Amino acid sequence: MGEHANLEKYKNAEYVAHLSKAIKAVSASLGTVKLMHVCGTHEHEIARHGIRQFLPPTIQIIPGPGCPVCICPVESIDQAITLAYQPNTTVLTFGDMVRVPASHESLEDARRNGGSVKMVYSALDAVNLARENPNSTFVFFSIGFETTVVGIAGMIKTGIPKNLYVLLANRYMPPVLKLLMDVHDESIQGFLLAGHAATITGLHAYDFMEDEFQLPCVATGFEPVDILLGIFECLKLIKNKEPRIVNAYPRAVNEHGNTVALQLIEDVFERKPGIWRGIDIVDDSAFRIKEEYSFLDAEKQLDCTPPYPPRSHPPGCDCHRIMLGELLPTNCKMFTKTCTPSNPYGPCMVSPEGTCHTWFKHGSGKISLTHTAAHTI
Amino acid sequence: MCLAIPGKVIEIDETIQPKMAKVNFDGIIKSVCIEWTPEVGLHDYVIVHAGFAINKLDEEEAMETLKIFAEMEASLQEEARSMIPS
Ligand code: SF4
Repeated sequence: MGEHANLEKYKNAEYVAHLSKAIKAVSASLGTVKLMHVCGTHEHEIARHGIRQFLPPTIQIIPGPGCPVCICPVESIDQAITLAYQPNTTVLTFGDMVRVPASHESLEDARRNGGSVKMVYSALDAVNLARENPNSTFVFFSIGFETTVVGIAGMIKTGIPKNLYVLLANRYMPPVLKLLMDVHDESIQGFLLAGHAATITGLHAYDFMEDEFQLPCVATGFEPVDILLGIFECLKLIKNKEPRIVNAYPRAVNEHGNTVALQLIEDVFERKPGIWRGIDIVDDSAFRIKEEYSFLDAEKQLDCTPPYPPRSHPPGCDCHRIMLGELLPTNCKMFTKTCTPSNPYGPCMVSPEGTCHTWFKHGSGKISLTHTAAHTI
Repeated sequence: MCLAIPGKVIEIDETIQPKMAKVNFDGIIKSVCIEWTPEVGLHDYVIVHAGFAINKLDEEEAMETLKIFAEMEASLQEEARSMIPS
């Protein structure tokens, strides 16, 4: 089989070397530049491929709140746990979600303590399970960004069995960039936009970054060449003082996104302010099930109020500040000592998309915040 | 849940609703729903999240983006030439 451009070429070592040189050249006159990415998969690939070693030390790529499992509000996990204890009710969710510590316990603990929790790979599995067991009640605990919300919107629109409910905790990415601008006192000079989230929304959804903040943003893919290209394009924009939104991942992203998916999402969901775990309430960022489909909304139809107040993070865990790019995992005393992927203390150590988990597995590939956010703390 | 690697569509089943495909991720074959990406066809590379294809990777665009390296090559050669003392 010949070389397929979509795969091999974007891993090409020669291209990586070219980009590394070009990045050095374009950043020579720039001083320290702080770019943030907002995707757990970006951090994973950056660390795994050691992308930071190809950058001059002045170019800092800071991981932001891009892990859907980590930002999932504890209130929603507490609700899922409460539902797992209801008679004849099974909570279905993604594997990553099961071990996330909530206010008192995780879904895995709840299962050990008599609750009913099953892992599924997709919303389709949830529909099939509910169909095969018509006398049981199932709740699909749905989390993730705009990429994962498409499937569940599609299933709802197509029609799901009566014994299946949806507990929706999905979040919409674009508005959180405004919060990040605020937190960092506008010290971030550019964003690498999550290529797959942008595949759904299109670049258009980020126009406000140009209009309101005049900040360069680059839709970036996930292979080593993609990531370096995203960084290079962003630095070029900074150097040329062109605060535009640029597409460095045009093989997957366009201006208007996946219009079929967007229509589906709009038909089934609306957006309201929503909590990002430990971070804040972010306007317009929480998907909610529309009134018309409230018959399958677990929050409205089932008793999911926990008998205890929410506790966002276990004491001493700085996950939320890591997600904001204010701290790094290495700033946490528990990192690799009492908090490890096999024994996670905080949410960022659970999911392979969490920064703590990624750094435990792959290291950071050189990064320090000494010139950046650490100053502001 | 979130996969960085694209998969190749090796089989499409039009008879069921929602439409499903078999997708090959580096040797691992998974069943993926392609109902909401109508442009996806056999042998396309798709991006999949939690069991649903969210888009396909466009081969022509992939080649187009890579043209930047031809330009870089040219400018590096230019640079090298200008560094040779005359
Ligand atoms: S290492 Fe563990 S305790 Fe520390 S911030 Fe990360 S998840 Fe929280």
